[in-house]
Amino acid sequence: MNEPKPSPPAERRDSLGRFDNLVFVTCTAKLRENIGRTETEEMIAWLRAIPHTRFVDLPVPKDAAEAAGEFRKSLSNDTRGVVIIGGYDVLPALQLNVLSEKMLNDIENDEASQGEEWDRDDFIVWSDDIYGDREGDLLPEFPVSRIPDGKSATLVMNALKAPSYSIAHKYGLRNIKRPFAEEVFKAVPFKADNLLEVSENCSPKTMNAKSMKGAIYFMLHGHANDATRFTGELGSRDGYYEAFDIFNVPEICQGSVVFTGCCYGALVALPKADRMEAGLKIRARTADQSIALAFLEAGVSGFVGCTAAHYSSRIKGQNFFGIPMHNSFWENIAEGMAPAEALFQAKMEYSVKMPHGLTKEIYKAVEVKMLHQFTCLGIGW
Amino acid sequence: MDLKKVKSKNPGWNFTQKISKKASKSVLDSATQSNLDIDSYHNKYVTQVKKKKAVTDSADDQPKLDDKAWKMLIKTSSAQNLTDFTEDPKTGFYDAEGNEVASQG
Repeated sequence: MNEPKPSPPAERRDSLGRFDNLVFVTCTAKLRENIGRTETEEMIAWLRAIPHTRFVDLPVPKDAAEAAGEFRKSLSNDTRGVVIIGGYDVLPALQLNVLSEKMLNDIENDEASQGEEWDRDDFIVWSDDIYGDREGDLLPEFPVSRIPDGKSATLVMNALKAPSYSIAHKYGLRNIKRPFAEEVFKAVPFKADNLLEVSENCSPKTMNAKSMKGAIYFMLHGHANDATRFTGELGSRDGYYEAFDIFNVPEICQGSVVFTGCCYGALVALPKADRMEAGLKIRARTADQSIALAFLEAGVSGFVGCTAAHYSSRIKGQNFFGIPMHNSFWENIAEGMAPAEALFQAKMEYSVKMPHGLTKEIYKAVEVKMLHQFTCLGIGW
Repeated sequence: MDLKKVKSKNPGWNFTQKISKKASKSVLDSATQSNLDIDSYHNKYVTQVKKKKAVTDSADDQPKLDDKAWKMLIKTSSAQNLTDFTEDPKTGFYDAEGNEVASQG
Protein backbone atom coordinates (compact mmCIF):
# COMPACT_ATOMS: atom_id res chain seq x y z
CA MET A 1 0.00 0.00 0.00
CA ASN A 2 1.32 3.46 -0.88
CA GLU A 3 2.04 5.76 2.04
CA PRO A 4 0.17 9.06 2.00
CA LYS A 5 2.32 11.84 0.61
CA PRO A 6 3.12 14.76 2.93
CA SER A 7 1.39 18.00 2.12
CA PRO A 8 3.24 20.44 -0.12
CA PRO A 9 4.78 23.48 1.55
CA ALA A 10 2.41 26.24 2.49
CA GLU A 11 2.60 29.55 0.69
CA ARG A 12 4.60 32.24 2.46
CA ARG A 13 2.56 33.56 5.33
CA ASP A 14 3.67 37.16 5.04
CA SER A 15 3.63 39.68 2.28
CA LEU A 16 7.35 40.46 2.35
CA GLY A 17 9.46 40.09 -0.76
CA ARG A 18 12.08 37.36 -0.79
CA PHE A 19 14.97 39.62 0.27
CA ASP A 20 13.07 42.34 2.13
CA ASN A 21 14.74 43.46 5.38
CA LEU A 22 17.81 41.29 4.92
CA VAL A 23 21.18 42.73 5.88
CA PHE A 24 24.14 41.68 3.71
CA VAL A 25 27.53 42.06 5.36
CA THR A 26 31.10 41.58 4.25
CA CYS A 27 34.56 43.09 4.57
CA THR A 28 35.32 44.29 1.06
CA ALA A 29 38.98 44.94 1.88
CA LYS A 30 39.40 41.19 2.46
CA LEU A 31 36.88 39.98 -0.10
CA ARG A 32 38.76 41.82 -2.88
CA GLU A 33 41.86 39.76 -2.08
CA ASN A 34 39.90 36.57 -2.65
CA ILE A 35 37.66 37.28 -5.64
CA GLY A 36 39.16 40.41 -7.24
CA ARG A 37 38.57 44.15 -7.02
CA THR A 38 36.33 44.53 -10.08
CA GLU A 39 34.30 41.46 -9.19
CA THR A 40 33.77 42.78 -5.66
CA GLU A 41 32.58 46.16 -6.99
CA GLU A 42 30.16 44.40 -9.37
CA MET A 43 28.80 42.32 -6.52
CA ILE A 44 28.28 45.41 -4.34
CA ALA A 45 26.46 47.18 -7.17
CA TRP A 46 24.23 44.14 -7.61
CA LEU A 47 23.45 44.01 -3.89
CA ARG A 48 22.75 47.73 -3.63
CA ALA A 49 20.18 47.39 -6.41
CA ILE A 50 18.06 44.97 -4.37
CA PRO A 51 15.21 46.99 -2.81
CA HIS A 52 14.47 46.96 0.92
CA THR A 53 17.84 45.48 1.91
CA ARG A 54 20.93 46.89 3.61
CA PHE A 55 24.55 46.39 2.70
CA VAL A 56 27.19 46.73 5.43
CA ASP A 57 30.91 46.88 4.72
CA LEU A 58 32.90 46.26 7.90
CA PRO A 59 36.52 47.30 8.48
CA VAL A 60 39.04 44.44 8.71
CA PRO A 61 38.24 42.89 12.09
CA LYS A 62 40.59 41.42 14.67
CA ASP A 63 38.17 38.56 15.34
CA ALA A 64 34.52 37.52 15.13
CA ALA A 65 33.55 39.18 18.40
CA GLU A 66 34.88 42.54 17.22
CA ALA A 67 33.22 42.21 13.80
CA ALA A 68 29.88 41.17 15.30
CA GLY A 69 30.07 43.95 17.89
CA GLU A 70 30.46 46.52 15.14
CA PHE A 71 27.85 44.85 12.95
CA ARG A 72 25.28 44.74 15.78
CA LYS A 73 24.69 48.47 15.29
CA SER A 74 23.24 47.67 11.86
CA LEU A 75 20.57 45.31 13.19
CA SER A 76 17.14 46.71 13.87
CA ASN A 77 13.71 45.52 14.95
CA ASP A 78 12.65 44.95 11.37
CA THR A 79 15.75 42.94 10.40
CA ARG A 80 14.65 39.57 9.05
CA GLY A 81 18.00 37.91 8.55
CA VAL A 82 21.74 38.35 8.02
CA VAL A 83 23.72 37.13 5.01
CA ILE A 84 27.52 37.09 5.42
CA ILE A 85 29.46 37.26 2.16
CA GLY A 86 32.95 35.76 2.24
CA GLY A 87 34.75 32.92 3.96
CA TYR A 88 36.17 32.80 7.48
CA ASP A 89 39.22 34.70 6.20
CA VAL A 90 36.96 37.59 5.16
CA LEU A 91 34.63 37.75 8.17
CA PRO A 92 35.72 35.35 10.91
CA ALA A 93 33.36 32.77 12.37
CA LEU A 94 33.28 32.59 16.16
CA GLN A 95 35.52 29.88 17.60
CA LEU A 96 33.09 28.88 20.31
CA ASN A 97 33.85 26.69 23.30
CA VAL A 98 30.29 25.60 24.07
CA LEU A 99 31.20 24.30 27.53
CA SER A 100 30.55 27.03 30.05
CA GLU A 101 32.18 26.77 33.46
CA LYS A 102 28.81 25.69 34.85
CA MET A 103 28.41 22.90 32.30
CA LEU A 104 31.99 21.77 32.87
CA ASN A 105 31.36 21.67 36.64
CA ASP A 106 28.13 19.76 36.09
CA ILE A 107 30.02 17.13 34.06
CA GLU A 108 32.75 16.87 36.67
CA ASN A 109 30.19 16.49 39.46
CA ASP A 110 28.02 13.97 37.59
CA GLU A 111 29.01 10.48 38.66
CA ALA A 112 27.50 8.94 35.53
CA SER A 113 29.65 11.16 33.32
CA GLN A 114 32.90 9.99 34.86
CA GLY A 115 35.19 7.73 32.86
CA GLU A 116 33.51 8.77 29.62
CA GLU A 117 35.36 9.56 26.45
CA TRP A 118 35.49 13.21 25.45
CA ASP A 119 34.01 14.87 22.37
CA ARG A 120 36.15 14.54 19.21
CA ASP A 121 36.22 18.33 18.87
CA ASP A 122 36.67 19.13 22.57
CA PHE A 123 33.27 20.87 22.36
CA ILE A 124 34.76 23.71 20.29
CA VAL A 125 32.98 24.63 17.05
CA TRP A 126 32.88 27.35 14.39
CA SER A 127 29.64 29.33 14.54
CA ASP A 128 28.23 32.30 12.59
CA ASP A 129 25.29 32.89 14.91
CA ILE A 130 27.05 35.78 16.66
CA TYR A 131 26.25 37.93 13.60
CA GLY A 132 22.54 37.54 14.36
CA ASP A 133 22.97 38.10 18.09
CA ARG A 134 21.70 41.57 18.90
CA GLU A 135 21.57 41.05 22.65
CA GLY A 136 25.18 39.88 22.97
CA ASP A 137 24.36 36.64 24.81
CA LEU A 138 25.72 34.25 22.12
CA LEU A 139 22.15 33.27 21.19
CA PRO A 140 20.90 34.83 17.95
CA GLU A 141 17.66 36.74 17.43
CA PHE A 142 17.90 36.53 13.63
CA PRO A 143 18.70 33.79 11.10
CA VAL A 144 22.25 33.94 9.75
CA SER A 145 23.55 32.46 6.52
CA ARG A 146 26.98 32.67 4.90
CA ILE A 147 28.18 32.58 1.32
CA PRO A 148 31.83 31.54 1.61
CA ASP A 149 33.64 33.00 -1.40
CA GLY A 150 35.73 29.90 -2.15
CA LYS A 151 38.17 32.30 -3.90
CA SER A 152 35.68 32.55 -6.76
CA ALA A 153 33.47 35.43 -7.88
CA THR A 154 31.45 32.92 -9.89
CA LEU A 155 30.64 30.95 -6.76
CA VAL A 156 29.58 34.11 -4.90
CA MET A 157 27.34 35.39 -7.69
CA ASN A 158 25.82 31.95 -8.36
CA ALA A 159 24.98 31.67 -4.67
CA LEU A 160 23.60 35.22 -4.46
CA LYS A 161 21.43 34.72 -7.53
CA ALA A 162 20.30 31.21 -6.54
CA PRO A 163 16.56 30.89 -7.10
CA SER A 164 14.31 29.72 -4.26
CA TYR A 165 14.04 25.98 -3.82
CA SER A 166 11.26 24.06 -5.44
CA ILE A 167 9.72 21.02 -3.85
CA ALA A 168 8.84 19.28 -7.08
CA HIS A 169 11.50 16.67 -6.34
CA LYS A 170 13.39 15.19 -3.44
CA TYR A 171 16.50 13.08 -3.21
CA GLY A 172 18.29 11.49 -0.27
CA LEU A 173 21.27 9.29 0.46
CA ARG A 174 21.75 7.56 3.80
CA ASN A 175 24.21 5.34 5.58
CA ILE A 176 22.84 1.79 5.74
CA LYS A 177 23.39 1.95 9.53
CA ARG A 178 21.16 5.01 9.95
CA PRO A 179 17.62 3.69 9.37
CA PHE A 180 16.08 6.65 11.22
CA ALA A 181 16.75 8.67 8.07
CA GLU A 182 13.85 6.81 6.40
CA GLU A 183 11.43 8.51 8.82
CA VAL A 184 13.05 11.91 8.35
CA PHE A 185 12.92 11.55 4.57
CA LYS A 186 9.20 10.79 4.63
CA ALA A 187 8.62 14.26 6.10
CA VAL A 188 10.67 15.98 3.41
CA PRO A 189 8.13 17.77 1.23
CA PHE A 190 7.74 16.72 -2.38
CA LYS A 191 5.22 16.60 -5.19
CA ALA A 192 6.67 14.22 -7.75
CA ASP A 193 9.95 12.29 -7.77
CA ASN A 194 11.44 10.96 -4.59
CA LEU A 195 14.38 8.68 -4.10
CA LEU A 196 16.25 7.74 -0.90
CA GLU A 197 19.33 5.74 -1.79
CA VAL A 198 21.18 3.60 0.72
CA SER A 199 24.93 3.26 0.92
CA GLU A 200 26.30 0.47 0.42
CA ASN A 201 23.61 -0.33 -2.13
CA CYS A 202 24.73 2.66 -4.17
CA SER A 203 28.12 4.28 -4.69
CA PRO A 204 29.59 7.30 -6.49
CA LYS A 205 29.79 5.18 -9.64
CA THR A 206 26.15 4.17 -9.68
CA MET A 207 24.21 7.13 -8.37
CA ASN A 208 22.00 9.14 -10.65
CA ALA A 209 22.98 12.80 -10.31
CA LYS A 210 19.97 13.81 -12.40
CA SER A 211 17.75 12.82 -9.47
CA MET A 212 19.55 15.27 -7.23
CA LYS A 213 17.33 18.33 -7.14
CA GLY A 214 14.66 19.98 -5.05
CA ALA A 215 14.91 18.86 -1.44
CA ILE A 216 18.21 17.01 -0.96
CA TYR A 217 19.06 15.08 2.23
CA PHE A 218 22.34 13.38 3.17
CA MET A 219 22.79 11.21 6.29
CA LEU A 220 26.37 9.95 5.94
CA HIS A 221 29.85 10.22 7.46
CA GLY A 222 31.84 13.33 6.64
CA HIS A 223 35.51 14.05 7.29
CA ALA A 224 37.33 17.09 8.65
CA ASN A 225 40.39 16.79 6.43
CA ASP A 226 38.67 15.71 3.23
CA ALA A 227 35.48 17.56 2.33
CA THR A 228 35.23 15.91 -1.09
CA ARG A 229 33.53 12.70 -0.01
CA PHE A 230 30.86 11.32 2.28
CA THR A 231 30.92 7.69 3.38
CA GLY A 232 28.46 5.06 4.52
CA GLU A 233 29.04 1.75 6.27
CA LEU A 234 28.97 -1.86 5.23
CA GLY A 235 25.66 -3.52 6.01
CA SER A 236 26.55 -7.03 7.06
CA ARG A 237 30.19 -6.49 7.97
CA ASP A 238 32.16 -3.85 9.84
CA GLY A 239 33.80 -1.16 7.79
CA TYR A 240 33.15 1.93 5.73
CA TYR A 241 32.02 2.36 2.18
CA GLU A 242 32.40 5.34 -0.14
CA ALA A 243 28.96 6.80 -0.74
CA PHE A 244 29.24 10.20 -2.38
CA ASP A 245 31.99 12.03 -4.19
CA ILE A 246 32.30 15.72 -5.05
CA PHE A 247 32.10 14.73 -8.73
CA ASN A 248 28.52 13.61 -8.06
CA VAL A 249 27.44 17.21 -7.37
CA PRO A 250 25.47 18.31 -10.43
CA GLU A 251 26.98 21.19 -12.39
CA ILE A 252 23.67 23.03 -12.11
CA CYS A 253 21.48 22.41 -9.10
CA GLN A 254 19.27 25.47 -8.93
CA GLY A 255 15.95 25.39 -7.15
CA SER A 256 17.36 23.11 -4.44
CA VAL A 257 17.96 23.08 -0.69
CA VAL A 258 20.41 20.63 0.92
CA PHE A 259 20.46 19.33 4.50
CA THR A 260 23.37 17.18 5.69
CA GLY A 261 23.62 15.14 8.86
CA CYS A 262 27.30 14.52 8.16
CA CYS A 263 30.28 15.29 10.40
CA TYR A 264 32.06 18.44 9.21
CA GLY A 265 29.65 18.68 6.22
CA ALA A 266 29.66 22.49 6.39
CA LEU A 267 33.29 22.97 7.46
CA VAL A 268 34.42 25.41 4.77
CA ALA A 269 37.92 26.10 6.08
CA LEU A 270 40.71 24.55 8.10
CA PRO A 271 41.78 24.20 10.82
CA LYS A 272 38.69 22.86 12.53
CA ALA A 273 37.78 24.97 15.52
CA ASP A 274 39.45 22.83 18.18
CA ARG A 275 42.79 23.20 16.40
CA MET A 276 42.71 26.98 15.96
CA GLU A 277 45.09 29.03 18.02
CA ALA A 278 46.70 32.46 17.83
CA GLY A 279 48.99 32.87 14.85
CA LEU A 280 47.46 30.11 12.72
CA LYS A 281 46.15 31.11 9.32
CA ILE A 282 42.64 30.16 8.18
CA ARG A 283 42.84 28.13 4.98
CA ALA A 284 39.62 28.57 3.08
CA ARG A 285 38.35 25.77 0.87
CA THR A 286 37.29 26.15 -2.74
CA ALA A 287 34.47 24.56 -4.72
CA ASP A 288 36.95 21.91 -5.88
CA GLN A 289 37.71 20.99 -2.28
CA SER A 290 34.31 21.01 -0.62
CA ILE A 291 31.01 19.33 -1.44
CA ALA A 292 29.21 22.21 0.31
CA LEU A 293 30.88 24.85 -1.84
CA ALA A 294 30.37 22.78 -5.00
CA PHE A 295 26.63 22.78 -4.26
CA LEU A 296 26.68 26.56 -3.73
CA GLU A 297 28.50 27.06 -7.02
CA ALA A 298 25.84 24.86 -8.64
CA GLY A 299 23.20 27.32 -7.41
CA VAL A 300 21.45 25.76 -4.40
CA SER A 301 19.63 28.27 -2.22
CA GLY A 302 20.84 26.76 1.02
CA PHE A 303 23.24 24.09 2.27
CA VAL A 304 22.75 23.23 5.93
CA GLY A 305 25.29 21.18 7.86
CA CYS A 306 27.73 20.96 10.75
CA THR A 307 31.11 22.56 11.31
CA ALA A 308 32.22 19.73 13.62
CA ALA A 309 31.38 16.08 14.42
CA HIS A 310 27.68 15.20 14.20
CA TYR A 311 26.17 12.44 16.33
CA SER A 312 23.02 10.43 15.69
CA SER A 313 21.19 7.34 16.83
CA ARG A 314 21.57 4.02 15.05
CA ILE A 315 18.14 2.98 16.19
CA LYS A 316 14.89 3.86 14.46
CA GLY A 317 12.35 5.79 16.54
CA GLN A 318 14.86 7.65 18.71
CA ASN A 319 14.95 11.43 18.83
CA PHE A 320 18.12 12.84 20.37
CA PHE A 321 21.48 14.35 19.32
CA GLY A 322 21.19 15.38 15.64
CA ILE A 323 17.84 13.85 14.76
CA PRO A 324 15.48 16.50 16.20
CA MET A 325 17.28 19.11 14.09
CA HIS A 326 16.74 17.04 10.93
CA ASN A 327 13.03 16.63 11.67
CA SER A 328 12.40 20.26 12.60
CA PHE A 329 14.32 21.63 9.62
CA TRP A 330 12.30 19.68 7.06
CA GLU A 331 9.02 20.40 8.88
CA ASN A 332 9.84 24.10 8.63
CA ILE A 333 10.72 23.78 4.94
CA ALA A 334 7.36 22.04 4.48
CA GLU A 335 5.74 25.12 6.01
CA GLY A 336 7.34 27.29 3.34
CA MET A 337 10.24 28.79 5.27
CA ALA A 338 13.47 29.76 3.56
CA PRO A 339 16.49 27.57 4.46
CA ALA A 340 18.07 30.10 6.87
CA GLU A 341 14.71 30.70 8.52
CA ALA A 342 13.96 26.96 8.72
CA LEU A 343 17.29 26.27 10.44
CA PHE A 344 16.87 29.19 12.84
CA GLN A 345 13.40 27.97 13.81
CA ALA A 346 14.73 24.39 14.14
CA LYS A 347 17.48 25.65 16.46
CA MET A 348 14.98 27.49 18.63
CA GLU A 349 12.82 24.36 18.86
CA TYR A 350 15.90 22.27 19.65
CA SER A 351 16.87 24.74 22.41
CA VAL A 352 13.48 24.47 24.05
CA LYS A 353 13.46 20.67 24.00
CA MET A 354 17.07 20.02 25.03
CA PRO A 355 18.27 17.57 26.34
CA HIS A 356 15.72 15.34 24.53
CA GLY A 357 15.47 12.80 27.33
CA LEU A 358 19.22 12.50 27.95
CA THR A 359 20.25 12.56 31.60
CA LYS A 360 24.06 12.37 31.64
CA GLU A 361 25.63 15.80 31.86
CA ILE A 362 28.24 15.04 29.20
CA TYR A 363 25.54 13.95 26.73
CA LYS A 364 23.63 17.16 27.44
CA ALA A 365 26.81 19.00 26.48
CA VAL A 366 26.90 17.02 23.22
CA GLU A 367 23.41 18.36 22.47
CA VAL A 368 24.54 21.93 23.15
CA LYS A 369 27.38 21.37 20.71
CA MET A 370 24.94 19.99 18.12
CA LEU A 371 22.87 23.14 18.44
CA HIS A 372 25.73 25.57 17.89
CA GLN A 373 27.50 23.75 15.08
CA PHE A 374 24.61 23.59 12.60
CA THR A 375 24.98 26.40 10.08
CA CYS A 376 23.35 27.60 6.88
CA LEU A 377 25.56 28.21 3.85
CA GLY A 378 24.35 29.96 0.71
CA ILE A 379 21.97 32.88 0.46
CA GLY A 380 19.51 30.97 2.63
CA TRP A 381 16.47 32.96 1.40
CA MET B 1 29.49 -1.30 30.91
CA ASP B 2 32.05 -3.89 30.04
CA LEU B 3 34.45 -3.27 27.14
CA LYS B 4 34.49 -7.03 26.50
CA LYS B 5 30.77 -6.91 25.77
CA VAL B 6 31.26 -4.01 23.37
CA LYS B 7 34.01 -5.91 21.57
CA SER B 8 31.93 -9.06 21.35
CA LYS B 9 28.93 -7.16 19.92
CA ASN B 10 31.12 -5.19 17.52
CA PRO B 11 33.61 -7.84 16.39
CA GLY B 12 35.23 -6.05 13.47
CA TRP B 13 36.34 -2.97 15.38
CA ASN B 14 39.16 -1.80 17.58
CA PHE B 15 38.49 0.61 20.43
CA THR B 16 40.81 3.18 21.85
CA GLN B 17 40.87 6.13 24.20
CA LYS B 18 41.61 9.70 23.32
CA ILE B 19 44.99 10.57 24.79
CA SER B 20 44.17 14.14 25.73
CA LYS B 21 40.63 14.77 26.93
CA LYS B 22 40.72 18.55 26.99
CA ALA B 23 41.63 21.19 24.46
CA SER B 24 45.10 22.66 24.79
CA LYS B 25 45.50 25.91 26.70
CA SER B 26 46.46 27.81 23.56
CA VAL B 27 43.23 26.71 21.85
CA LEU B 28 41.15 27.50 24.92
CA ASP B 29 42.78 30.93 25.10
CA SER B 30 41.93 31.56 21.46
CA ALA B 31 38.29 30.41 21.72
CA THR B 32 35.35 32.28 23.22
CA GLN B 33 33.94 30.33 26.14
CA SER B 34 30.16 30.18 26.44
CA ASN B 35 28.61 31.36 29.69
CA LEU B 36 25.32 29.57 29.06
CA ASP B 37 23.71 26.57 30.71
CA ILE B 38 20.90 24.42 29.33
CA ASP B 39 18.21 26.58 30.98
CA SER B 40 19.51 29.71 29.23
CA TYR B 41 18.66 28.20 25.85
CA HIS B 42 15.19 27.17 26.93
CA ASN B 43 14.42 30.51 28.55
CA LYS B 44 15.59 32.53 25.58
CA TYR B 45 13.36 30.86 23.01
CA VAL B 46 10.41 29.20 24.74
CA THR B 47 7.97 32.09 24.27
CA GLN B 48 8.89 32.57 20.62
CA VAL B 49 8.62 28.85 19.85
CA LYS B 50 5.27 28.47 21.56
CA LYS B 51 3.96 31.51 19.69
CA LYS B 52 4.83 29.97 16.34
CA LYS B 53 4.08 26.32 17.03
CA ALA B 54 1.82 24.58 19.49
CA VAL B 55 4.71 23.09 21.45
CA THR B 56 3.34 21.27 24.42
CA ASP B 57 6.21 18.96 25.29
CA SER B 58 8.87 20.80 27.21
CA ALA B 59 12.22 19.17 27.94
CA ASP B 60 10.81 17.91 31.26
CA ASP B 61 7.89 16.14 29.57
CA GLN B 62 10.05 14.01 27.31
CA PRO B 63 10.64 10.36 28.18
CA LYS B 64 13.98 9.85 29.87
CA LEU B 65 16.49 7.67 28.05
CA ASP B 66 18.44 4.94 29.78
CA ASP B 67 21.67 6.74 28.96
CA LYS B 68 23.14 6.33 32.45
CA ALA B 69 24.06 2.82 31.28
CA TRP B 70 25.67 4.04 28.07
CA LYS B 71 29.33 4.61 27.49
CA MET B 72 31.07 6.85 24.99
CA LEU B 73 34.05 5.13 23.32
CA ILE B 74 36.26 5.81 20.35
CA LYS B 75 36.03 3.27 17.58
CA THR B 76 39.05 3.10 15.32
CA SER B 77 39.02 1.76 11.79
CA SER B 78 37.84 -1.77 11.15
CA ALA B 79 40.13 -4.45 12.51
CA GLN B 80 39.22 -6.60 9.53
CA ASN B 81 40.31 -3.85 7.18
CA LEU B 82 37.04 -4.07 5.28
CA THR B 83 37.23 -0.49 4.07
CA ASP B 84 37.65 1.30 0.78
CA PHE B 85 40.16 3.54 2.53
CA THR B 86 41.51 4.46 5.95
CA GLU B 87 38.90 6.16 8.10
CA ASP B 88 39.22 8.58 11.00
CA PRO B 89 38.46 7.16 14.45
CA LYS B 90 34.84 7.83 15.40
CA THR B 91 33.02 8.24 18.69
CA GLY B 92 30.32 5.69 19.47
CA PHE B 93 27.82 5.28 22.32
CA TYR B 94 27.30 1.74 23.67
CA ASP B 95 24.58 0.40 25.95
CA ALA B 96 25.05 -2.00 28.88
CA GLU B 97 24.90 -4.98 26.52
CA GLY B 98 27.61 -3.54 24.28
CA ASN B 99 25.29 -2.54 21.42
CA GLU B 100 26.12 0.66 19.58
CA VAL B 101 23.11 2.93 20.15
CA ALA B 102 24.48 6.09 18.56
CA SER B 103 27.67 7.32 16.97
CA GLN B 104 29.37 9.99 14.98
CA GLY B 105 27.80 10.66 11.60
